Amino acid sequence: MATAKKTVAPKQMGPQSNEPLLPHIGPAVDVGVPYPGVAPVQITNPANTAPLTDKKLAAKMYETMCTIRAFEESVKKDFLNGEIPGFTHLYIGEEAIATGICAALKDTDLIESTHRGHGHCIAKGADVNSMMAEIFGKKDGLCKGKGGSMHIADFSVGMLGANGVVGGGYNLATGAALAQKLVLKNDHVSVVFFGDGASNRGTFHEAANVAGAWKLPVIFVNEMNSWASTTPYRTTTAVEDISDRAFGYNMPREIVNGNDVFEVYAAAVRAVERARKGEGPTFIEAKTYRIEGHFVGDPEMYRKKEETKKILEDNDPITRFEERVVKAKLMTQKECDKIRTAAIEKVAKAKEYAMSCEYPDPSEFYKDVYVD
Amino acid sequence: MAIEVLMPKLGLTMEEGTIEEWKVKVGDTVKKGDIIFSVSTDKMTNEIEAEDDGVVIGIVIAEGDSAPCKSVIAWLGAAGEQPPAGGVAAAPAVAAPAAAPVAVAPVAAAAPVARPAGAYVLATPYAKKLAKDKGYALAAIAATGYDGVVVAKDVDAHVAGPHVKTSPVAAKMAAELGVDVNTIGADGQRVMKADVLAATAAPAAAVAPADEDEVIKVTPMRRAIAKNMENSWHTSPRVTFTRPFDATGMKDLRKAINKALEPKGIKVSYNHIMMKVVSLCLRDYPDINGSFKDNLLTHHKHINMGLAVAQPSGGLVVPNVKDCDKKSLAEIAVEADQLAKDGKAGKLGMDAMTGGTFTITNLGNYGLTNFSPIINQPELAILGVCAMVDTPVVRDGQIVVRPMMNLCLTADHRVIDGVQASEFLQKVCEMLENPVLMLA
Amino acid sequence: MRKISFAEATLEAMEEEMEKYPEVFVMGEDLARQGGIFGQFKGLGHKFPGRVMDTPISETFIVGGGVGAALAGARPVVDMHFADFIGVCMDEVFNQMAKARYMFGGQAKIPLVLRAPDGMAGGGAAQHSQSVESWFLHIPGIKVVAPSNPYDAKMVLKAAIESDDPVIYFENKVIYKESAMVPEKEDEVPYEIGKARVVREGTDVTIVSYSVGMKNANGAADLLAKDGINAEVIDLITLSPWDKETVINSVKKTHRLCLVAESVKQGGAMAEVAATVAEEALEYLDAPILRYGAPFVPIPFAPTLEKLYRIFPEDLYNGIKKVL
Repeated sequence: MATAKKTVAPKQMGPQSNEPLLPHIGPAVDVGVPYPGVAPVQITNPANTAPLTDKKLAAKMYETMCTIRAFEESVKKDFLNGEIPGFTHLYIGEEAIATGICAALKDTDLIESTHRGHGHCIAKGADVNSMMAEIFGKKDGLCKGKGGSMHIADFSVGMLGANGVVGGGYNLATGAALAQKLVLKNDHVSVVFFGDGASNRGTFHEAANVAGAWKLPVIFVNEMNSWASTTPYRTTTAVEDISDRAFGYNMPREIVNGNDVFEVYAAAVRAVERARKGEGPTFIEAKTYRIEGHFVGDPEMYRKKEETKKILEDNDPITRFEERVVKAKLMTQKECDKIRTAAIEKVAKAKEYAMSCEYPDPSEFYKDVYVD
Repeated sequence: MAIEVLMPKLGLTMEEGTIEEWKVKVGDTVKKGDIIFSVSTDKMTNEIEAEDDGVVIGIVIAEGDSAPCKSVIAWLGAAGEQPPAGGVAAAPAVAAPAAAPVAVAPVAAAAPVARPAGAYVLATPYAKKLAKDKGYALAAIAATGYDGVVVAKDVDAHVAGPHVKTSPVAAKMAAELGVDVNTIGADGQRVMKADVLAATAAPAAAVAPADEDEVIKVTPMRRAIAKNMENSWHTSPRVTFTRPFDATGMKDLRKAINKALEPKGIKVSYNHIMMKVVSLCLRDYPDINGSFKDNLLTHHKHINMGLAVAQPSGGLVVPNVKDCDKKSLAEIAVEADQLAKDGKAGKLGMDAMTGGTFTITNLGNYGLTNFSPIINQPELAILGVCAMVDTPVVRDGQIVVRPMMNLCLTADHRVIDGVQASEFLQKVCEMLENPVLMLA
Repeated sequence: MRKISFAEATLEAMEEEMEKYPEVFVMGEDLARQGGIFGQFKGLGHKFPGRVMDTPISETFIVGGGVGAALAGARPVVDMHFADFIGVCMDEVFNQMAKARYMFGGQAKIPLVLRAPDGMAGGGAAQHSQSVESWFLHIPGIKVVAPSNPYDAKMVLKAAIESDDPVIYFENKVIYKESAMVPEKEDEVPYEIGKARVVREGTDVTIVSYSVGMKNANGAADLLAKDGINAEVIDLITLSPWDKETVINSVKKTHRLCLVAESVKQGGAMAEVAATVAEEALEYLDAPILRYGAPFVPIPFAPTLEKLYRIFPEDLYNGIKKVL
């Protein structure tokens, strides 16, 4: 099978290793909890040589990453200022995953997002003005102010919604894939994003099994960011690489550097191709790191802020992109700066727009439920 | 004889007080002047002295609880004495003839399920609604439903029952006066106009505590009186002002005028003179000839003088003489006598019963020298007339015997301040002492 | 008119809807090959190859996958095998299926029907006999239906499939086999979800029920009729959002209300009806509201104990007689 080469073999696991406790990116974090050490993972798949040749695509992906970053920073500020109600979870540092995956999708393809879903929403092409309005709870928001950050959705671009329940998306994406392939008979692909924390939900098993058994066009994208809320994944997870589980579902997997948009994109292109050809699901494990707290306002007692900061400095997907494109002479730093500045401006305008919108009228209260 | 300890009224605006502390307990002996409790209002806390000697035989209002001014908060008496049964509320001293025992009307047909008098009436919501909509008292309805509950068909049966047949005039009058025809009249008989009038009786004595072992179902008329009394008691913060006057002039006037009217067969009584004098004085006191509701004070254009008329069966009616100030003593005498006669016979018309603006009640016949009548709502004052008593008084440095009478004006302090009431009373007394002023 | 069973009626509804809408498909356990463990899908898989799917024993996928398929534009009917198993996929039911339409501001339609066979079929004991419809009355966003006879079974299922809101369709295991006269297709009257039906007019007491409870309602009405008492019987059909108006209007007429359901009395659907009537029509009640339901105990296995769990028409009859 052609795709077999693109997967990596399961590594040997066990308590034999005395190697230092290192997350896959960045330094060790001592959380005072004894957990079995495992060997650091070689994250780069040598086959992942991304097409550093398509300038238009690169610029688009860069623009998306910068928009996500600017959007999240703006939301963070406004949330801390008390202007945004509810809970908000930020995607800073993980931009390359949503960007790389969605760049390989068509508008008609569908994604299931997570509670940390702003990045997915932007990458799938949602309008940032309507997104920001939704996050502020305004009537002109994507969900008319009824969903907010944790339930943001834009069905017009195939973004089927963030999900407030961790691990709630697998079955939805798999069911959507089933409908596409077996009922509606089209070649659309579904993607479900999920974290390492969500990977321990039983729903993963049920969905992955059906996807594997029926070769459904669904891509499981694991954003392996090391933290399940405040709990380090190694204290709760039996495998080092979550994607090891893919083998149980006869599902190919790829492990990529989730902070390198080119690697993510290349893996996504391969997975989408397989899905469209009817070859079934793929598990992409994108190694990254959660830079922000679990939610805005998380005091992060469980780790050291300076370490997190250093991880971002060393592995910022945006900086990494710039280094790669400049080195490959695909784009200049100046071009990058221009795009980034424009993204920041776009987000600033989105915020202005959101602030100018009204809150929903009470007449909206009973609408959109028991419609017909 | 038990003595009431009342909640004092420690200022014009005080309507109720809170017992901060009892300095005495039941069984303690107190002497007049002893501090027996402290009371607080929203403005102050005062220590209150006993006004009589005695033993504390009952405490009605506990520490921390509130009571309206002038209500009973404790009882003094002899050692071992019990406070009066049901003596929680002060028995208002109001004009009421020491009437013959009230004839209790036959109670509505006995319910198949026995219900103690005063017990909460178990009824279904629908039965309650029906009874209310049709104007029937649940208590009168016999319960045949499950578990002794009044159900809708019981109400229907009650409606169809014989005792609620009503004459058209009575029905109309009852509707206008807000009288429940099912609570009046003799059972099994048609309710007539007279029954309705009886039920609208004016303020009379509240029910005195009966022998505590005997529970008496009072007449519908008594219930109506009780309701009116209660309403008045809760509506007006009242003060009674008492002033004596020398009735010599009035006595002479009456004698002279009756002599003149003798051929006409007209007899002027002291009541008639009182009515005329008070009516004339009221012209200068529109506040007193008024009524007060929802913070609106109405000055009545007409002075319609009510006169409390005792009924032989107990209770009172208060017919009134319209435009009393404009009528001569003879006219007043004729009209008032006719009203009194009709009142006693239960034949008063609606017109005579309504529209009063002030009331006079006379208990002089019973030797009273002081009492505190209760206001006939919605009026603002009532004048109590006491007995004429030959009393030694000082005139020009000499002790002489004069026929003295006390007038007791109870006024609604919401509207009528003490000065105004006293001034009015003074004016009435002056005119009675010098009837010639009626011509002024 | 012809006589068909409840199960056959649901099958007819499925066939007609699948013919009408190519996006309708069915998935669940043991449907295509087995025809459903109660035979309610018999032959459907052969008639519509590829559109009746035998899933693994994965309830979260059955419902969650159904929600996803609905989001993607299909019109799924999913089967729960036994209603007792809904607990396995409760998140999919109450956080995904119930909420998607509202929380996404109306962008999503969830034309999903969740079929749930419930009730005591005899010896099913604690985990295969329950009637759990009441749980879902507490969840805004789901329609809950529970028809009581073959004709309603068909018309309600068709309405459920055609609804763009998610519907849980409770079908009682005992009445599956029972037959009744059903109109020919051209004489059918479409059912409007949310409407109750007065199945028997009366003046003395209103008896309200649904699903298999209607046996008790009608049975009690028959017993009362012998005594000259005219009971009005209402089949709620839809439990959420339910038809308050029909019930309250009836109570205003009869002034007495008797409620019965097979499920646990405490916190049951009928508690909601009782509370609503007490709130909105208290003054029309001329007797306490009577409510019959299962005792607060898991369903026992032994036939002698299981019998204690059941309600009989005589229970209603005796209770009503007492308050008349």
